[in-house]
Amino acid sequence: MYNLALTAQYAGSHVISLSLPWPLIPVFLTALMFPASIAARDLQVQRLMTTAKTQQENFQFDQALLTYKQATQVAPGDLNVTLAYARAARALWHFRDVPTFQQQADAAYERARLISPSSTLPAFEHAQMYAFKEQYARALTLLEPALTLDPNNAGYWLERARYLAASGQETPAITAYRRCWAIDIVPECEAGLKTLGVQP
Amino acid sequence: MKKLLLSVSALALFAPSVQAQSAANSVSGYAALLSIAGARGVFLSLATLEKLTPAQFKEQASKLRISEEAFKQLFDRKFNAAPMEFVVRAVLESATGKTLTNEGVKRLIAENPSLVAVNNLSQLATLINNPAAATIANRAATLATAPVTPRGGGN
Repeated sequence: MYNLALTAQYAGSHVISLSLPWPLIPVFLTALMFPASIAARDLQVQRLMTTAKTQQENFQFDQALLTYKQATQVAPGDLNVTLAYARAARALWHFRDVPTFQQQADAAYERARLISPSSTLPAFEHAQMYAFKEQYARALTLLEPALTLDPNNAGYWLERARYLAASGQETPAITAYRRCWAIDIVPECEAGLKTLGVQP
Repeated sequence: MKKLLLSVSALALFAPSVQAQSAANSVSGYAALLSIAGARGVFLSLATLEKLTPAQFKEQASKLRISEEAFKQLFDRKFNAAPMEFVVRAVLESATGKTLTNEGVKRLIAENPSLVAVNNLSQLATLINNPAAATIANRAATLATAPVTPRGGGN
């Protein structure tokens, strides 16, 4: 009685009967569950990200940070979500100097690097976090992976040159500015060289 | 925690005004001060602002980690749109903890219009969270004292 049959009649004479493969139903359902759960998760993350952005625009920075954190818990392998959380924590560290926010940002950038080892963004943004606090030695170390992954990016050489110049390391700063200038025509690199008394 | 809740409530109360200003495409002096308070995690409400006396400016400015001058020029604008350099100056002072000048900030805006320009509240929120603007913020402090033409500059 459990064996249902689908019947179709063609040309009035041929009858084809198809048995519903009951043993395979759970397999089909399980296979469908996977994309459905991914879609539901994506939808939830999208909703959380929109909420966090709105909270930031209403200057509810603490709530925004919590919402971003929630989003990272829903999608722990999403680079964009992790970076958004890192940025929110970093901004609060900049304004409040509270070590908790610094640790949150550090951990998030570290996680972002693990999520996407080929992406230069985590290293670049993490470096900026410390450059802003004028901790140039740490910023230079953090920037290194970005230059290793993308050595022909003039912007990263400019960033390196600025950190070196700001920390009083003029000779390596000139080298970095020159490397930047050799890669592309970047007015900031030219200006940096002139400021250090060197012609491009 | 209590402080945070109070701050959140204050901002929530102010939300309608914030949205109204967003539509007007400008940032008032009060809105700028309240946004900085939000970023600093300091309790500040519209009611508190309206009751402030000049004698309290220094203390309030110190809580927001901005100079008294930066505080006063925003405070004086009240609900009226504040010049962009006033808003940007206060945000950058609060973020860096350094005292800037209106002129230095003006030059910074002219050099990086896409990074630090603030014409509405959405852009103000972006500035507070913008990493690129954050990295150039320290340059504003240098610009505050640097001559217009850098030494060794020119051809």
